[in-house]
Amino acid sequence: MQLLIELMLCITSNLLFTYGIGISLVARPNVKSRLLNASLSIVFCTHGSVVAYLSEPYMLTDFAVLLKPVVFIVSIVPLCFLLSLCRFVLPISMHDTFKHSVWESAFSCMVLSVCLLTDEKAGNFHSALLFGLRAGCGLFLTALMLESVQRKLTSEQMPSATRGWPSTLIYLGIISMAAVCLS
Amino acid sequence: MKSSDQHPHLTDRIWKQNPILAYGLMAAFVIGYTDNFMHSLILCYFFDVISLSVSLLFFQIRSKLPYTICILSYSLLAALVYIPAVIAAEYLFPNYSLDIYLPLCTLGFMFINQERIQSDDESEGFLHFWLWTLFGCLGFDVVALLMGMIREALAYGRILNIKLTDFISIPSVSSPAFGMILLGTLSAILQKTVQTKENKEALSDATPD
Repeated sequence: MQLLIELMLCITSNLLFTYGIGISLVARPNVKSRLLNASLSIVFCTHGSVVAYLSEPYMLTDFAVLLKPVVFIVSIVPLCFLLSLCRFVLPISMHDTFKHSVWESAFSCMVLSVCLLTDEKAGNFHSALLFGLRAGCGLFLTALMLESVQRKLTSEQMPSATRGWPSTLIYLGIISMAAVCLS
Repeated sequence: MKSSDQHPHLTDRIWKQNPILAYGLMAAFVIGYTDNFMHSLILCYFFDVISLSVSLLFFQIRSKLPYTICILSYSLLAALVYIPAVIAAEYLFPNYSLDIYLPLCTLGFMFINQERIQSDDESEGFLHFWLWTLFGCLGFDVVALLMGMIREALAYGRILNIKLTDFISIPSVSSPAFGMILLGTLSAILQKTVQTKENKEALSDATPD
């Protein structure tokens, strides 16, 4: 039951549905890189929210808003290099895709926005960790959801004007309305 | 790939190859923040100032560095340019509030120049690179301002403080969900106009003189 509630929370409080953030990451035409980016985002979002929570007491109040992007970038670099090294356990054909995906998902709007929202949404370490994890999982679930309908949205049966990116946006808009109502 | 795709016209970036409508890049800013015309102006200011300043500084280093260092140096540069941009915005737009979307503009340049961040094309001059960014920014501005105008007109029946009508008032138009639907509709209009133009060109090419 707890798992089901968590799953519902991931979907309904998804940043993509409530803020429209992460849409470029999940709506890209390449399915493989879309799912890879979304799964890497789980790691980066969790890391981002934890870093934002831990760095908060050391930030000067007046400059916190200005310095957050710099702190985020500096903190995420070691994790990027570490994950980039993981590509060597994959087949050689995937090395370049994986490396690009690591950097693309690390410097996506999704991860930076999780960092910026952590203060507002999380009051302690546990909730900060959970917030980042939920944001990442929410994005991954949306990517999976899109994956299941992508063939229809890009099929010949769709009017040529709305085929692909326009229909994906309209579809996400309608799902977003439902999710906001549920939450 | 067509030859026109390899060397696209700069002006195509405003409509035909618009980074948001045609490729879906940076859609989050426009969907979330352009709920009225004033917000659109603020977003355009942040996006243009950061992207154009970074492109001035970034050109010299981009081809000499590996991909990872390139992305990293760009992001740090943008995060540093963001600081004076916020300070200047306080004088330009006294009543604005720094929403979560505005810091995200620090990542905009990376999206707008995705394929050229580490171009191997040595012949590409600084001016061409900067104009490429400028026209990308103009494409972004056109969509952002259009979205802000339509959403404010539908939500409050006015644009800035100019009253258009008393009959229209749909507050939910300001929500990100409607933003997605409106952006999808604009994108469909672009796709249709491009297809119609291409069909006409193909027809005129096929018709003997």
